[in-house]
Formats: sequence, C-alpha cells, structure tokens
Amino acid sequence: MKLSIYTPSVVRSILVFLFITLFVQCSKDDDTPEEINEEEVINRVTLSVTDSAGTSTPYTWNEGGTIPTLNLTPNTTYQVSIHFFDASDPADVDDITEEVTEEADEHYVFYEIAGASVTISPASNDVVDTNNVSINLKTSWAVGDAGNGTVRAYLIHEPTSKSGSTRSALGGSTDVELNFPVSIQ
Amino acid sequence: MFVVVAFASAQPCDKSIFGVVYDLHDNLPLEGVMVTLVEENKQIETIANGKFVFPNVCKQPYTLLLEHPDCMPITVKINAPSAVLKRFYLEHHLTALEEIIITDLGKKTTTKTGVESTLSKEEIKRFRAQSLGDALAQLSGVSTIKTGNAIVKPLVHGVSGSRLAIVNNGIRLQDHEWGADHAPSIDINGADELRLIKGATALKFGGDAIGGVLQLIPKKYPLKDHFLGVVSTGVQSQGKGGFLLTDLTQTNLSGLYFTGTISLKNAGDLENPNYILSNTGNREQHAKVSMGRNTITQEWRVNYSFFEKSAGILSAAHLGSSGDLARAVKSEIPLVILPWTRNIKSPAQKTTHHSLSGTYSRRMSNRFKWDVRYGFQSNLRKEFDLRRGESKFKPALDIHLQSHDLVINMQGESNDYFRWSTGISAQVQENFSNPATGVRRLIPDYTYYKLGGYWISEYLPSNDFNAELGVRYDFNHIDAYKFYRIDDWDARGYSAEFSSTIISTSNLGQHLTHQLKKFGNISASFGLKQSLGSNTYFLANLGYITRSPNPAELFSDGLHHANARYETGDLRLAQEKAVKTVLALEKQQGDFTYSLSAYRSFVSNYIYLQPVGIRQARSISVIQANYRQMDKARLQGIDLDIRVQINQGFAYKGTASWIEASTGEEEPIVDIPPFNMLHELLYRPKKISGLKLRFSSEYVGRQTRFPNFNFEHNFIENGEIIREEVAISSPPNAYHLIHSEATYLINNHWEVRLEVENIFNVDYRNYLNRLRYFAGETGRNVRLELSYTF
Repeated sequence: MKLSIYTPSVVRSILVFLFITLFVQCSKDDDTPEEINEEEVINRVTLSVTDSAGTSTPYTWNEGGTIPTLNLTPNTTYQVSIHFFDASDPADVDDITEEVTEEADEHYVFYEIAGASVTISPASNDVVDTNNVSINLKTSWAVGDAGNGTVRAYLIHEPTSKSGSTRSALGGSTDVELNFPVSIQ
Repeated sequence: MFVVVAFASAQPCDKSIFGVVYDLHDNLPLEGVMVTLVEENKQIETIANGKFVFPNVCKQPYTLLLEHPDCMPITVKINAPSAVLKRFYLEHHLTALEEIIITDLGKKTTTKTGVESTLSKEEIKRFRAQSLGDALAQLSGVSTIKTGNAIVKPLVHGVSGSRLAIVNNGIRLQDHEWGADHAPSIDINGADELRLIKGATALKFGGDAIGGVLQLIPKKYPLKDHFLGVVSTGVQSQGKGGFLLTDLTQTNLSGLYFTGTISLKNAGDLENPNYILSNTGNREQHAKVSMGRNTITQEWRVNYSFFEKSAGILSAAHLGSSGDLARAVKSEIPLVILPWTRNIKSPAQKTTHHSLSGTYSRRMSNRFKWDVRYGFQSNLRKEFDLRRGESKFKPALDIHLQSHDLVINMQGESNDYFRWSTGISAQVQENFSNPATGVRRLIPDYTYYKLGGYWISEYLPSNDFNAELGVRYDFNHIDAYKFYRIDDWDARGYSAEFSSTIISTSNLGQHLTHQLKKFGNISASFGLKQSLGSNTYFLANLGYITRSPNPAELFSDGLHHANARYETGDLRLAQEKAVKTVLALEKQQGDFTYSLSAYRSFVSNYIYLQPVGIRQARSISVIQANYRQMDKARLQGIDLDIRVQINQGFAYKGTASWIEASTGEEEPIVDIPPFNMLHELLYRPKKISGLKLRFSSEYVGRQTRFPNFNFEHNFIENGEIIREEVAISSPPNAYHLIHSEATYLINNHWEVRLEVENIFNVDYRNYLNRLRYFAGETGRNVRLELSYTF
C-alpha cells in the first residue's frame, strides 16, 4: 500500500501540532472555584403578633427548624406583620422584607386559613403597591372562637392578580409557603 | 458520480459492455452521461435509466471515458469483459470521505449494515421555521421531548441527551446536552442533509450512543463556476412569527467553494385554542460561513458557525414550590395568562454556540485515504428565573462549555473483499459555572479529557452479503471541583467513602471537594446485511455500548423551576452498559419502498432520575429527585417506514413507531413515547405543473405504561385542609392532528408554500412535553413562505 511512507509523517506532524495547541490552550492552572454565597435566600420568617395592649410576640421559623405554634386568645384582634430574612450568615442577617417593600408591585403576601376561626384583612398601615393595593405585609387578624387550625403564609412573586381568594387565582411563583399551626385558647 | 456495472457475454468480439451510471449524490440513475469507448472510438449517451451498452466488443482490455457537465470526467479501465460482475473503484470530487470507496452496488451508506434514515435538503426545507427536533420527528423511531414549543430535543428509540450522538462536520456536537430542557444548539437551516443511524453501530463517532447517531452532512458542490443559493422568508400565525433565510454559495471549477448562511427566526407568545401561552416567545439567529476545496485526491474545509437562541419558558411553569406544582396540575388552564406579547421575560433561557472546525482529507491511492478534523466549540448557556432586588436581571445559571476535538480517521481496503477503517479521537473540554449568578452551581467547574480509538473491519464477499465488525475503546477522565453543603454531603453518606476528596471546609457550611473520575469504556458492534433479491435486504446488527455517567448525572445539585424539582447527582454512579440488537427488512428502490425494524436493548446500570419525595428547601417545599442506577432496563420497539408511489400524481408516506421500556422488575420507565403514526398523501396534479399538495395525519396514542411518581399535597379549600393526590405521572389522552400544505413552484425559481398545522384547532396535551402540566399545546398555525432559489 502506498500509505506506508509519507502518510504517517503527515499525520504525525498535524497531530503533534494540533495536540500542542490543544493542550497548551487548555491546561489552565488548577484554580479552585469561588464559593457562592447564595443570594435572595429566605431561610427565616417571622410573624410579629401584636395584641391590642401593644405587646408584641415574635414567632420565628428558621430553616431546618419546626414552625412555631401561634398562641392566640379568642375574640381578640391582633396586628400581625410578616418579615422575611436571609440568615445564611448569622453575623449579617439580611432583611428581605425591604426588597419586597421596594418591589411591592411584584409581590403579594397571602394567607390561607384552615380549621381556625381567624379572619385576616390588610392593616391600615400596610405597604401598598403603585395601584394602591395592600400587599399584606401588615395585617389585622380578627380571632373568633377557641379552636386549633392552620394559617398558611405565602409570599408570592409576580402574581398575575392580587384580588383572588384562592392561591391558584393569584398566579405567580411561590417564594414562601409555611404552615403555622394556630392554637386559639 | 459514476458507478458502472459491466457485464459481457461469452464469445470473442461478440461481447457487449453494459453499464449503468448512477449519480451517487442521490443514488439515482444519471441520464446524459457521455460514455466513450476509447479503443473503438465509439460514443454513446446514457438514457433515462442511466444505462448504456456497447455491442460487439472483443475480449480485450478497454478504456471507458465518462463525462457529464456536473462532474469531472473519469477514465475507467476494464479488463477483458467476462461474465463476472466487475467492481470499479472510482473517485469523485464531490463525494464525502465515507463514499469514496464505492462499489458497483451504487448504494450510498455509511454503515452498510446499519439501519439508516435520511432527510434530504428538500425534506428539511419544510422545517425552515422550526427546529431540528421537529424535522427529525418525521422519521420513524424518533420523537421529541419538549419544553414548551421552542425547546425541542430529539428522542431516538426512547433515549436522548448523552445517549444520542449528534455529529456535525464529523465532530460531535458539544453542548450542555444532558437536561431535558437543553435542546441541541443547532439550527435546522445549517444542515444540508440529516442522516440518522439507529442503533449502536456507528462506532466511528463514539461508543456511548445507545439511541444512535445523527449526522449533519454538508452539501457537495458541483465542480464548476456557479453561484447558487436560496433566499426564503415566511410568516406564521402562531406567535405572529416569521423567519428569514439566506444561503449563498459560490463554487469554482478548481473545486474551491464559499458558502454563507444567515437564518433568523422570531416569534412572540404562542396560542392554545383557548388561551395565550404566556412568555413562549422565541428568537434564533444563526450564521455560518465555510470555504473549502475539493479535488480528486484531497479536500479541505474550514467552517465557522454561530447559533444563538433565546426562548421564553411558559410563565405558568415557573414554580416556587411543590404546592405550586400541585395547584398547576389540578388546574385545567394555566395559572398565569397574560396579554399577548412578543417580549420574552424570565423565566427564559439563552444559549450561544460558536463552532470553528477544519477538515482535511486526502486520498493516497484507490485503496487508502485519511482525514483529520479539528473542532473548537463554545457553548454558553444562561437560564433566567424570577428573581428580585439586585439579582433581578442576573441569570440563575450561567455555564460555559468549551471543547477542543481532534479526530483522525483512516480508511482502506486490503483487497476487493476486505475493508477497514480506523481512527483516534481526543477531546479536552472545560466547563465553567459563573459564580456571579449568586445561585449555587447546578453543574460544577470541570475539565473533561477523552481519548478514544476504533477499528472497523468490513467483509464484502459479494454484492448480496456484507458483514462488519467494530471495536472501540474510550478513556474518559473528569476532573471537577465541587462544593457540597455539609448536611447534603452527610445525608448521602459520602463522608466515609469520599472524605479524602475534601480540600477545605468553609464557614458557609460547605465542603470544597476535588473529584476525579476515570472510566475506560469498551464498545463493540457486529452487523450484517443479506440481499433477499429484488432490492430487498435483511439487516442485523448487535452493539455493545458502554457509557460513562455525564457530569449532570454525577454532580447535579440544584433546583429546576419548571418541575419544582431539586435534582441531585451521585458520585457513586458507574458506567451504563447496553447490548442492543436491531433487525431490519428494507427495500430502498422502486415504487414501493419500506423499512421495518425491530430493536431491543438490555441496559445494565441504567441511569435515571428518580423522584424520592418532598424536600423542604428553605421557605418552600420541592420534589427531591436523585440520579440513580437501575440494575436492568429493557427498551424495545418496532419502527416502520413505508413509501408508495401510487401513480404519477399520488404518493403515500407512512411511519409508525411503538416502544416499550421496563425496569428489571417490569416496572415502566418514565418519558417513553406512546405509539404514534404519521400518514402523508402527496398529490401533484398533472394539469397544474409545479403544484404539490400534501395532507398529513398525525396520531399519537396515550401512554398506558408509566411509573407512578404522584405525590400528595394538602390543599386548603373553604377553610379545610384537603389532602389530595397530585397526578403528575398520568399521561394525557391520545390525539389526532391533521395538517396540510400546498407548494407552488414558478419558473423553477420561485416557490410559494402555504401550510396549515393542526387544521381543526385541537386542544391537546403531549406526554413528552415537560410543560404539559401547566398548559395545552398550540392550536392551529397557518404559515406562508416565499422562496427564491437560483
């Protein structure tokens, strides 16, 4: 076969040339990658429950922990504010509530209640968006008869509607979905 | 290209030389070839069936000169005509490497014993406004796995991604192929011809593709001074979309050619018959320039291509939590429907692919040739999620994959009956995950080294039988740096086995680890083809495939919003090994042609993503899914392609595919295409020349075999907690769509095409669309295109 004499040398020279270019170009230093400190993480949520006497009780959920039970008194109205935090770095806790307030148009807090006699409405000092719609960061809870139940708190990102009465009707994507047990005694 | 078959009778000087001349490009008999019998100074032109005959020749060596306007003249020496079928080895400047050594069979196939389907430029033309996956879905055995309508990924014999090799210009496409929402970074308009080799026989391109190999084959240009091209534009009702395509080529008598292609696509929100599919707009830009030179003994080509695609992901599919998924599945309509817009917002993805390649091939003798190919590919992938604050416009995923490939192939013949081909390939690939996203890396930074070599022997004792045996070895080495959250690391029990890989532990609660993975993969194939007479062939091939786990399977660590799913890789994964058998019966010539094939693969250590439960990820809960291996998996199916030229006016084309996939415990495997059929009737009215009408019927059954990954969710309705099952596994109903098309060719240059897809505006859902939970498919689409070809 005619291939024997000069083919391999041609092949070899091209090969050597390309391999050198290839590997020199790619053999970068073994730079170890930079660690990523996750942003916009919500891993702490606090419900601040204030009774009519002005006594405020914080109920805080931390990632990995259990969700605390809200202890409420029958037939009382409470002022409740919800706060979201990034507590990844305990020395530098970031208050996400501020970003939610700044982007009020794109956020909405929504509560669903099961089993418990609680009626939730926006507080008069609540944050409103540019359409003057309350986004429920501050709410007023009218507590009825004794009993146990659940209040599910949602933080919704980019809802399509802020007037729906069910979670499905609001659209958007859920950033927080926590079930707070409620004990009304 | 000329292929000659010569016969002769027995007596001196009353012999004849018969021949048939084929155009190897489309394998059809070539008319108008001037054949000169040099010694006798006789000339004759081939007739419509490519035949010619020189009667009354003597028993002596002769020289034949074959000339055609589009081809270089060829001289063929034939020895004393005898009754034996002669085989000639002819070189042609227009043929690709694989086709250089040809036989008197006139059959143009890469793996002669493999089961192949081809889509010609003419057939691809219809899909100018669509994607590669849409075009391929015309072939039996091919389905698509989709994320919405713009992100379409081909699925061959039930597998995709790393199990399907896509080869462009002889080099495998390197993009982030593993995710179901990662479509190949290729524009259909950059392909001249698509060839799908089903089964595991194409070891030349890799030993890990159990589904098969999809080749994009560049066009061969005539060797003459010629300026040719096409300018095409179209609009469609869906998404108020449009496209523009320009494809120009200058060829030269010396064999030099230059080509340039620009293709642009743009569409806004698509529409279901009942609602707008919000944020499903799509933009694509593709440009390609290549130049090269073909001569008889050598050929070179330099090619650069650019592809960029921005695709919106259905707004309703951006989920925060498993609760969102539960509500979406329960709802009949998408939970986010916004006014129609052309704009794309988050969630969205943007991919940019650059590819630079060079090829040189040289023919050393009639019996030996080699080629060398180098390719650089850069694939940048960005995914945008709904974010807030400073991160609002930052991608949540930003990964950059750069690959260098070098491939050297050699082909030769030991004698008339044995052929061989061999080659080596090397790859260095680097992935960089940009930390500026502020989201933990889904895929870590890694460097991937691959070195492979193959040998294929072919035995062709006669025109009725040939056999092929191949082996391939690949050495793969992955060198990755990956952060693990300490709790994840411990939960997976890595500490005992992998503690030596920990480099450091940070005060953010993460281990930085250095993962080295080495795999040696052996693959082999055996195939045979037996003629059964009257252009019918029986084909059988058996492949043994070894595939190393890909970086996603090993290292994935992150949330997929479209599924509300947290996907986690596994460091312990071993290689996947498969044995695949394909048996086929084919008839490729005549008015009735068909291909019937049956395949069965047994896979051990089959890698899959298994949903394992609901995980609390920070302030929400999501589905946790882990990459795992099942001891045994079985994928089997039947593909049928039929084409009938009924008469001069009517032609029929039909395909049907059935596939079944089970685990070793006879449990169904997820995302397997249901039974499907495509029927097409083509009509060319005699009275109106240039007009073509096509009616097609597409039937897709309901998948009845599916694994149950349903989960339960506590809905709150009317003040009560109601626990309900969320049926994410249940496949949607069967559907039947009717499409039609009319094309009208004017003056051989202008073509008008009017196409209506889903004529009856059927509202249906597709089991293989990952967004089927959130919305139905698109409704009727009317498309109008105008092309000028010269």
